[in-house]
Amino acid sequence: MANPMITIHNVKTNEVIEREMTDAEFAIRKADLEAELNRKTEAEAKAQAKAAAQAKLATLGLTVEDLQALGL
Amino acid sequence: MPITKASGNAVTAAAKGDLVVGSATNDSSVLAVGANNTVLTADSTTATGLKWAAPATGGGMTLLSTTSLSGATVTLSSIDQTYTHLELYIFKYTNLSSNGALIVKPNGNNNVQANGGRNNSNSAAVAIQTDTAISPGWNTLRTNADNAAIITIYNYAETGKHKNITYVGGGVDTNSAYTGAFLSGIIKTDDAITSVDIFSNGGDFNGGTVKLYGVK
Repeated sequence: MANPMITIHNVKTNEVIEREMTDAEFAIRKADLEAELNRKTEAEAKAQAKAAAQAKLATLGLTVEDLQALGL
Repeated sequence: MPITKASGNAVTAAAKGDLVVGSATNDSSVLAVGANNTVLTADSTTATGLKWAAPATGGGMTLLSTTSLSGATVTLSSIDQTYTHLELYIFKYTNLSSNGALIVKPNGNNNVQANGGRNNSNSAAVAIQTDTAISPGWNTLRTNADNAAIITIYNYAETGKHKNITYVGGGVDTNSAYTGAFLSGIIKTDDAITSVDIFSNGGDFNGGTVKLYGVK
């Protein structure tokens, strides 16, 4: 299977080259996409954990403001 | 018209635009008019202490390149190092097959520390980036061309210090909600920024443009 395409625009010469990524470039791209996915997953997990914690507070009749009032 | 010098001799402004100027104590000489659109400038190294020179250019933005977004990655290389700041204007970007977030890697490195956030009518979220590329961290609707971002890299050509960045973006998220996003932070490199990679975690671009400006 062919590697993805990359466009390289040399700003100084205005030359534009479109070619297949080398295997090394493709490996970097895959690592970048994986890192971005992990970052996004981690952020979503944190947001879900926060929402879950707030839901638990609500069942106790407490709010975030109540915790802040307690200095927590 | 002849002008009598202190020495008793005379100098004559004989041609259109000629100036009679002091050239030494009690002495004068003629300075011929300069080329069109030049301005009179002090220069102690000349005989008259004056010269005609092109006016200094003021600040402003210069368009360095315009590139269509296609394929998996677009790299802007060999970026001119004679400006103070760089501005990337990326607009109308769409993806071929999947929703995705715009990602920009200065010098091909993941060394950006930035904080920011995004919000729309449905949600708000904080974005914290640690040793990553520049990315707002939210996916845009791949078919909507209302997406745009402006990324400024400050003092990009300087070496020996980190570079500040700002990202200001907006567009339509995967729930079709118009979204605003902002990031500010630093690129942790002492090297000058000579290239940027632009891609999306949604796969190949299906359209869009990046304009690169040099800012004085």
